[in-house]
Amino acid sequence: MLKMILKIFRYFRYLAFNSGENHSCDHFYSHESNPNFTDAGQAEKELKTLLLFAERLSELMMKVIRLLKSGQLYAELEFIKSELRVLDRQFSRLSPLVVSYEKGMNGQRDDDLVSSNLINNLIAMSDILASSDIVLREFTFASTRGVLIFIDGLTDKETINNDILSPLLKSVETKEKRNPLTIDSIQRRLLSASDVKKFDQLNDVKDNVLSGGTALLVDGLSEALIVNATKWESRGVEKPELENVIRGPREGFSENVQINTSLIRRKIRNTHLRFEKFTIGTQTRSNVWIAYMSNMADEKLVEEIKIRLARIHTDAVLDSGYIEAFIEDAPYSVFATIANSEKPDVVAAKILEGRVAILVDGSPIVLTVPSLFIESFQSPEDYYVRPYYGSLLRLVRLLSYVASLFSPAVYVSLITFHQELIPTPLLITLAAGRIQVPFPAVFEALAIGVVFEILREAGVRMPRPVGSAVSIVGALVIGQTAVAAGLISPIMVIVVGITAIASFAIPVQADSGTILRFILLLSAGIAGGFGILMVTLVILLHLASLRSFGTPFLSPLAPLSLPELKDSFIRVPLWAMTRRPEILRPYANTIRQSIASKPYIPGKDKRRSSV
Amino acid sequence: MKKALMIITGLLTILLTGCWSAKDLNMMSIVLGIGIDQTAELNRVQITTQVVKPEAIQSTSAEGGKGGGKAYTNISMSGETLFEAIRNTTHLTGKKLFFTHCELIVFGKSLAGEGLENAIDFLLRDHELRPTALVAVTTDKVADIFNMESESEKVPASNILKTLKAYQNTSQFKSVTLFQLTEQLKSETTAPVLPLIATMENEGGKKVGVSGMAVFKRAKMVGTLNETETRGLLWIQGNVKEGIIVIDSPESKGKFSLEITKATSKIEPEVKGNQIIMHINITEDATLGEQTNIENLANVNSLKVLEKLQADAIRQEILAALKKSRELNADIFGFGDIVYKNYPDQWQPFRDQWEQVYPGIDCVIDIETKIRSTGTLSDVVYKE
Repeated sequence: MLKMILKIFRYFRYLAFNSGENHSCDHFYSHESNPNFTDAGQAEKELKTLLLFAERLSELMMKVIRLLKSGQLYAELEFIKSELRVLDRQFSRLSPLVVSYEKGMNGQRDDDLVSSNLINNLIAMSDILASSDIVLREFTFASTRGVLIFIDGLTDKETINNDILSPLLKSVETKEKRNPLTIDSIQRRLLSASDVKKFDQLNDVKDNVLSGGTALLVDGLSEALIVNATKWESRGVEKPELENVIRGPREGFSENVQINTSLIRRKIRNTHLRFEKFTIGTQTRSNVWIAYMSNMADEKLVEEIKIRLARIHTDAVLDSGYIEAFIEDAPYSVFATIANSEKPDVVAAKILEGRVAILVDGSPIVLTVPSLFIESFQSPEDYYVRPYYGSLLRLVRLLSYVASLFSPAVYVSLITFHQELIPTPLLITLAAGRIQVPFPAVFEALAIGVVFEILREAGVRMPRPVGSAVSIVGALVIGQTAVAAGLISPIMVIVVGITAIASFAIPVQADSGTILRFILLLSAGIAGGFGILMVTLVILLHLASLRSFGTPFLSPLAPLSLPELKDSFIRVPLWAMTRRPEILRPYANTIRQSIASKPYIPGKDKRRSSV
Repeated sequence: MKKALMIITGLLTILLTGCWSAKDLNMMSIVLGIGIDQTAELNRVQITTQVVKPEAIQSTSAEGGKGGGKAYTNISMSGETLFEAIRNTTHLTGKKLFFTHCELIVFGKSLAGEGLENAIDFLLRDHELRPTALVAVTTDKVADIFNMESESEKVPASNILKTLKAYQNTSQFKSVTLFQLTEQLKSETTAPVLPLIATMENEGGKKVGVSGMAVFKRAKMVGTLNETETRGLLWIQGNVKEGIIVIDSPESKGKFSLEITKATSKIEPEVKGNQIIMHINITEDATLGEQTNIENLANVNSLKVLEKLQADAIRQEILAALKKSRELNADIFGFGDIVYKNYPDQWQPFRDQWEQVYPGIDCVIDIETKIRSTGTLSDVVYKE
């Protein structure tokens, strides 16, 4: 109760403080060199919202004071709560960060048109022309001055020479003499490049030049032509490093988003496959694409993703991880609620289940949402091999996840708290192994755990030729000599080794697994099996409370969905998976295939005659 | 500020309390067997614990049996009570004894003669000891038994344990757990029976072995059963698992060995006035394991004869057990409990005078035997 009242008064303090600051804000913006900026209108709107907020706040405050005096505060608790929620909403709109950010966005984007005076255009574009990688090629054709603007390194010089410059320069002598020069005539008759677009906004021209287009500005024409002659060096389609398969496609995404979209398109040749493009990042203006099947993906899901993407106001988007950080459901959780993959077949399969993929230019990792916990245990290979082996692989992965989380913790709790649970001969062996070890078991496990993490990190970062040195030093020096010196027990090395191998079997949960393993280990050292149990319960509760874009993270296990268990711990034959996951798109037609697609022997099957 | 303080105190309470009830393996002595004796001084018990030395076990196994030193130590300590004696052992070793892996409890003869009740309370009350531990009595001093090394096991207690557990192969003695002993002690009439271990001469060396069963009455040892009598006891209890019955051939010279494969018993009491009659039905299956005469027995008639002979042999064993129990006037079969369970109303008059009633109990024994197979031979190897 007290907290609520304090909050109300904090708002008041903010209001008094903010109204002063707001004016200074306005002053700052009005000094900016841009005369077109509609400062006055914006400020007025802002003041109005501020006033509204203030009125509401004062009313609530009066009410609270009255209630406090009469001592009936608790009777009106619900009302105050709902009022507070409204105030919260209004306040978030007033927050100086949001306000200034929106202003900053608008301030950068001016609405200048392409002028018919070439010099004026060049002056207006002086901000990008100042950069040394911009090439400005001036020329005269048909006694008119023209200018080509493009970025060195992003464009194909050959195309510019053959398809833009030479047709234009040659046109002086030929038939073009009589006709008045228009932007259309240039586009239609002169340029032999295939992808040419018209723009009349200077901003669009700048954007296109920055993303690799070649701008053609002609004196006397109030429009610009953008020729798409992009060409830059990029990594081709290569084998993915993370998700290796024995059977299945080997291609992986690359950094070029155009290649990535084409890889997905080549998997799904369907009219319903939609790509939508967004530009995110105030400074980098990176391209972010979403891909989905318009007939399968939930409209609400697509809408939600668009809203969340539009909400991102940040300087830079350098990798899909940036997007993930800004749109995930549980930013404080150790579990990632957004899945990622670098294999087009995986992403295509997820899109075909009704998920939405998010591609970021410059990142070979593609995000897919919603993501379920069970996806961590699925590998594309499960579907490409026969179902028995596929199911076995699933179970092995599940087992190794459990082993990677619990084995050090269980070992420590057994050896320090529950020795009676160990069979006698094993206990004697364990005791013999630990006879010289000067540390408690927890400390021992923690120390080797940390050493292992260091080794792993060093192995990832080291250049390949040096990498083997890390493993030699790690295995021989740390492993063997530490045991020989009696610093650690050989059994602990085995336990940590099992843990390490097991954790590599679940690369998706490797990051959360490492953290949870240490937490479980500590709890096992403090409270033994009881501690492990408590922490496990907390983890399970947390998992059950997570949601990924509206889908419960633990589904189809909790909430239980029996038909979808077909593709969880086991993987039934493909023909038996007759429906697409319903949890992703409830109440929709989710028939994937009819059961009739089960293979049969001609003439032997009864179903055949009835069909 | 307040929140941060709460988080810090919360973390401190968890992290600074240390590891409650944690025991490090280095700081404990793993006990594999305990022996309890009564000392010459009055009212003092002596406990001998056999503690394993893990490093010795490990080194011998690694270096092929060459490792120096014994794999165990025996720690003896006396005290007014068992618990005191056990705690006093820390004066000698500095390590706490750890009993959860102790699977053998041996009572010295001196204690068995005085009565087990002093020792049994602690053994059951202490949470570390398991009720599944096996219990035995020795006619020797416990310390001697615990020093008899064997070739197969590095720790004597493990060897004794192995011997006790192997009773099923002959069914001539029986292993008894602490829990079973307690059950029998709780009964008003049943006389507990424990295996009796002793050092025996065997091919030029001394070995520890089971020599029979000790019979207790009211927690005091009153006598022993030999192998035949024990088998008889097990027949009635239905506890015969495996074993060999040797029969002399009736006509020609030679012997048969029959291997018991399955045996069950059913006891139905009958109360007629002051008289108690026990109807004992035993069914037994056996296979012909060996024969030293030259007659082919693999036909129905011969087997019938053999089955009858076998039944007689079993009857002899049972009668021997009955005779011994009447001599000792100890209800080793638990007849009293059986009568009580079946006739709780008529039980009261017998209850107080069981001592007088027991020797007069009539037993009607009915034995049904079957020979199911003649092994891998259907004829004799050597014929005249």
